[in-house]
Amino acid sequence: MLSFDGKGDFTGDDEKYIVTQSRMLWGFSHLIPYALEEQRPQMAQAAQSGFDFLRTNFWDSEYGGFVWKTARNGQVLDRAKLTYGESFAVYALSEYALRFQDPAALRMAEEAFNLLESRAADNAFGGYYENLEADWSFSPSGAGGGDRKSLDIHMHLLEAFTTLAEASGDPIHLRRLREVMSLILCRMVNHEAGFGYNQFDLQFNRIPAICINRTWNADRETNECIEKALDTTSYGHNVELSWLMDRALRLTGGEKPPILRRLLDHALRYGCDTVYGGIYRDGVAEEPALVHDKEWWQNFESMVGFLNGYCRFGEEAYLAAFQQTWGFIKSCFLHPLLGESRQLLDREGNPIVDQLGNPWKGIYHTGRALSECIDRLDLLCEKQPR
Amino acid sequence: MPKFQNASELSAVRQEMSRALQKGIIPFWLERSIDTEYGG
Repeated sequence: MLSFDGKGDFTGDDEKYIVTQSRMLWGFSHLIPYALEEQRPQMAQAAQSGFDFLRTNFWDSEYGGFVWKTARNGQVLDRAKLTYGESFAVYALSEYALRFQDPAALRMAEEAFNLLESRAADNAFGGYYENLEADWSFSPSGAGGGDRKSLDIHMHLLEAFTTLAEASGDPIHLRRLREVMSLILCRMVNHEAGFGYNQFDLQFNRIPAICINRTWNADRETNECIEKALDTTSYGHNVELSWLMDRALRLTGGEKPPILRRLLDHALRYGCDTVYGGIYRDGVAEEPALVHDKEWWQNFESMVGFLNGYCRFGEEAYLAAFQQTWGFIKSCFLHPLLGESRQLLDREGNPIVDQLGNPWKGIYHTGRALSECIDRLDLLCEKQPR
Repeated sequence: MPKFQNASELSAVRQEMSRALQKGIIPFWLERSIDTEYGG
């Protein structure tokens, strides 16, 4: 259960989503080496419980794949197959398989991958469809997401396929990872200015970004209207893409494309708040930021991206951005007593949404960012990584 | 990889982050998120 208010009390929302259940499974698996000795057995039990719940309740035995939402007791509430949700299941099961050397989890990750290839991949134009229904048919157009593709989906497939390829060592997983990387680089980013485009039609023509039912912006409680929707870009997403792409490149090999730096440089120029610290939420191409709210996940991911950039390129400005973002997170996002991050702040750091958990917000962004930063700081301090 | 000039400063940040994980984020979710009745 994941919905907790600003005091850490359960809000009563007990529906379970494949995205967040997977993120918690990933977190309790991945973070064990970073935990205190006495926390580790309980984390392993939590991961086991998460894996059992996923395969028992979320797996669709008729059509294959993972359903989108269940009730607390596992009764299916939304049977749709969303590529976003499927990708997080692959990511979590692969991480669980790596941590616990569990062949059943790896088999399930591979089965989900095979279904994505046969049901959600577009063999004509490349990439993957956004939202599909229970039987893997297209969802409706527009807000249904059936007529579009997005950077968001493909970035999280990049993340999932990297971990799957690590876990399986199977050349087909590595090949599809390379294809997703190539697609993002060829179709989804502006290489000169250094930012990602948001949404595309099925032929990869850019189209105005809209909120998509169940996924894109479904977690947001503010309701800003951005007039020039065509070029909206998320600074946190761009910086996250920089380090996820770099992580994938370590597995696939190959040259570091200049975009890895340009994504950071664009966020430095337009997204970083040099007065109060932290990173703004959204902007339009090469103009000052449009939305000055600060969202927890963008700030945590930016911290990793800037520190990764400093490790890879030695640019002092990236280290300064990392330190400034961590300072803002420490003083404004993290609850001083309960330790988890609040969801959304205004520019000065005052809470707009002080929830510590919700159907989208679990241990994934906060825990992952800190563990990724710890690994890089260990390297910088010339210690051995975990 | 660049050689950071002030390793003790970065080491201090590392300790802050480790403490934030071990004393904050991990126990927050361990204490609250596990569904002991239905699993998950």
